[in-house]
Amino acid sequence: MNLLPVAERELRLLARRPRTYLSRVLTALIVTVTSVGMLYAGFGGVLSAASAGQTLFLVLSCAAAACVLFDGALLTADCLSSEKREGTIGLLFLTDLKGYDLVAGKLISQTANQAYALLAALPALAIALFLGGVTGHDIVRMTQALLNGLFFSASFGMLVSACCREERRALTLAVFGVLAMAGLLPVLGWGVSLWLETGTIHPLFLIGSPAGAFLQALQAGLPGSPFDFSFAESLVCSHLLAWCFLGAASFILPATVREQAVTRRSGNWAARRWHGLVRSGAGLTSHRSYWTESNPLIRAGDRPGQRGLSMWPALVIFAASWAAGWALTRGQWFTLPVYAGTVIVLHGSLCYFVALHACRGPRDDQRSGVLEILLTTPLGDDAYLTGRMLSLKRQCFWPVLLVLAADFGLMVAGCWDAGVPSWEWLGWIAAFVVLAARLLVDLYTVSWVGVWQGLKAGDTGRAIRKTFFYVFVKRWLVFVAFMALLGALTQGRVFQAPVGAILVAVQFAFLPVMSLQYLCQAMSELHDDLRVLALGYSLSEGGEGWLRLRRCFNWFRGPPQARSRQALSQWQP
Amino acid sequence: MTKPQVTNELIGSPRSVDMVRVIRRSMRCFLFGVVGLVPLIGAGFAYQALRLRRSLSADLEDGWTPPPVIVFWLMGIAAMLVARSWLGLAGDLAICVAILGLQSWLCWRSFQNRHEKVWNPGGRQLFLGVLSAYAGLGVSLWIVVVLVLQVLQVLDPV
Repeated sequence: MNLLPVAERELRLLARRPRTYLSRVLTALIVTVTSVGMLYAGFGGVLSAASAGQTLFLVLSCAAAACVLFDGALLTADCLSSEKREGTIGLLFLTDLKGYDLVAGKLISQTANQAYALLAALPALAIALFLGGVTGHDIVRMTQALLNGLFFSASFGMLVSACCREERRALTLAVFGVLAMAGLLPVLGWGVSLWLETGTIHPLFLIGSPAGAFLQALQAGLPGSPFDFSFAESLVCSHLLAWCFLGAASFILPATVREQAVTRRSGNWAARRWHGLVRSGAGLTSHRSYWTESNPLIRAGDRPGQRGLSMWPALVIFAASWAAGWALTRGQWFTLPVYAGTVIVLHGSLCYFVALHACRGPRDDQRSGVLEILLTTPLGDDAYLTGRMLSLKRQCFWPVLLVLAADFGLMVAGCWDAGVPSWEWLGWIAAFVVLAARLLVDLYTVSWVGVWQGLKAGDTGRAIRKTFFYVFVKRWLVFVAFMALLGALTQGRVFQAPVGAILVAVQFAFLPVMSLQYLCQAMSELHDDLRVLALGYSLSEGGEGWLRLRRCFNWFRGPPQARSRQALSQWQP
Repeated sequence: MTKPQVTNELIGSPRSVDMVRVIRRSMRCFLFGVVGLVPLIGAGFAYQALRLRRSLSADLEDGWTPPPVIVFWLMGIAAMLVARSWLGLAGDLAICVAILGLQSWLCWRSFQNRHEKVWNPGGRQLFLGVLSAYAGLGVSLWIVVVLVLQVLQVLDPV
């Protein structure tokens, strides 16, 4: 028998898929376009060449680290649990396969494309070498740190997937677990170091985290490292921890395959008590019956397992960390970077949970056959979509309100810090209004695109990734590409002039508008082709771009009818 | 020589089309096209209007070939680059109006030349949607090009 037969099979399959090659080419292209602007900034005299090189290295490394950690966890989190839900993994264990065969096979099949894409993007880091400020040693270290980060997050995702059965729990645990290890622990370590006034972060917080090696690689060129351990120690520790995750997953998986009795009692005591109280309330009951009568899908979204966004644990952990940070660093806490970080974490978490629920609901309906049955009833397509969106809005209402309240609180704190009413107050109020408006637009877009991708993509993890790519990543790519074009045309001088700042501000304000294209497409396809999407058919046309280009040139050759007649007349059997 | 593909137009076979879907899409194309008239902000809507038109054309098999707008705009940009030193912004505007007029006329002609086998009650709205979408995309492109040229002129007046 071959060594790791599932892994071998998956690698053979991957080698035959066009997407494997396309993804790495696209990644290399995107990273190159991003680098062009920095190159012009460096050689155009806007920044000194060394600082342009360091900035390019920093930007590319941070973007790659975020992608690697998020992608690795999201891709692997549901790969084993979905097999458990469908009951197929038990059949695999009837053969000679062992737990490690399946874990290795799934790990390779899920992360090979990401690893290839990362390898394709890494040479762009070497552009920083030409600009200066970064050495070859730094680039090698960063390469190791990023590859280790991907392996770590994917291994953690495998462990979570081996332990969990439910999709929502697996995805949330994996993503937030990795983010906590890579983001929360270093921040806590930094807070503790400030509190104890040691000047260095304790190794306990960083040595087992992929962030330890990453921060070491990033800090390489800077004097006065705040770490008590070396890069190699951090890399080896986190790498060993990742192997431990994989070993644990291989060990746990065969034990969790056995079917367990499903208990009827779901949720904890407090949740059950709350549901009971709500059910007994006369006013609320009449309110619910109104909604239920208008659309039965809202009732489905109100079941105990489906209710709410389940983001309260994440919010509680975040609030506790925020409070701990404030308690540890009282004088230095209320600063602009902390405000910005808080807003980014809160808005990002909310968008993630909304995307998760938007993608998961239709996917579950499709998988369980509920959608097919519903579409054969007189309810119709529109009722399904209306019900699904209303249900999502009801789930999101309180979390959105809470996040907006937190934003308002930050605005008040900023104004309080500013003292007497001044122009700074206006800045805080404007920032609050713009950010709140952007959040609401983004959430609306994420909801529709999530439902659309939930039906279209193969699984929920992939649907979430595509939703985030369409709504958030693509518009930043357009932004960066436009700035790189301007930089290339003006040889970097645009970044020195005030007109450059105005252009950047205008583009930043209009960023959410770029995502509206996908909102339109999602609404259009869902309203028109819901039945086709429900069957799991793909509506995308392969090679559409080439066909369009060809059609453009066909226009000069006359109408198609004439061409067909001409071809028929010329044809001799 | 390989046998040419015989299309449905030559055979003349009737085609079953969900007319409710066609009309809804035509109305949506009109709506997206009108919103797409707003420069820059409406570019996504305009793109979706054209996308809807393409898919409707495939459903109805009306043999509609869109005019080569991209080619005209590329030629227009080249003309703008050449004539900018003589005519300035007025020349840019004149070229934009000329290309918009040309593409509208060609669009109208291409709609006249299509061979509609199934009558689409929303055909007029579809045409107006496509026209607006092309106009919106053209104006957006013109604004971006003029902006870039102006920035270049400000930064390098020589």
